[in-house]
Amino acid sequence: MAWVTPPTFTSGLVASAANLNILSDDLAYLKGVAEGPNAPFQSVVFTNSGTATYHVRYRYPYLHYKYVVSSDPGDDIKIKVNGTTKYSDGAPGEGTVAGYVDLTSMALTPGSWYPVTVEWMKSANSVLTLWYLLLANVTSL
Amino acid sequence: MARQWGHGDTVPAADLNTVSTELTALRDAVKDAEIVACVPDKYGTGNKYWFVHRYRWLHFKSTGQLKNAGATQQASLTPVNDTYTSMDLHSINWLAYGDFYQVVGCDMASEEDTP
Repeated sequence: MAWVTPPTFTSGLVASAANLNILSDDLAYLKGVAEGPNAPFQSVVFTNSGTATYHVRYRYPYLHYKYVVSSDPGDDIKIKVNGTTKYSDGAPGEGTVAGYVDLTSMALTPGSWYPVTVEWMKSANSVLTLWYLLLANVTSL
Repeated sequence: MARQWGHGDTVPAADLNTVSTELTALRDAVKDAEIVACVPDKYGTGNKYWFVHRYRWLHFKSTGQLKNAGATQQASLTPVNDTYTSMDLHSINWLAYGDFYQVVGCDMASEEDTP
């Protein structure tokens, strides 16, 4: 339920059910924010080439990612949503990368689940640490 | 501070506006970003997901079982058309909100507030 600006009451007016219900709904909104689950995204460390699979219920357009390549440059990294490559780096150098991809053009169905995969190809001693994969309604976390 | 009313009290506009003002202040203290973490796929055979029951709907993928913490009660989780499926946890009479429970054998599992 979306936030609705609380009404301004004036003397002499009836406190309508609709206006009082806005107060109730807004309390429910804030309660929902306070009670939300707090499950963390657990980092994954790839010491070998491989694929990690996740699932996301599509609600917001921006898929945020952050990872670190260490020890040596990697060979390739891809992030796929529902089988479509949305992010790719064919020569990932050592360092930290953070960004997001806009999933709007995929015309995904809000409320439906989709697989998200991270495919990593190592090179020499390279290590990938995937810090997070998050869906958000904003481009800046 | 919002007023506490007693039976027979009047409801002046000023008192209702206090509630509106305090709600607005709370809302302003909450950031607008809505962020959800991607849900991990299973880690190998026998993977378990542990939950504290908070939301009505369990979303899962592939066949598995829902068990209480001690595994003395259980229910089958059967996906529809082998894809993401939601189950109404109100249908599990031994599961109460706040209970600790496990989901075994599914490719993924997540509690949600909508089916």
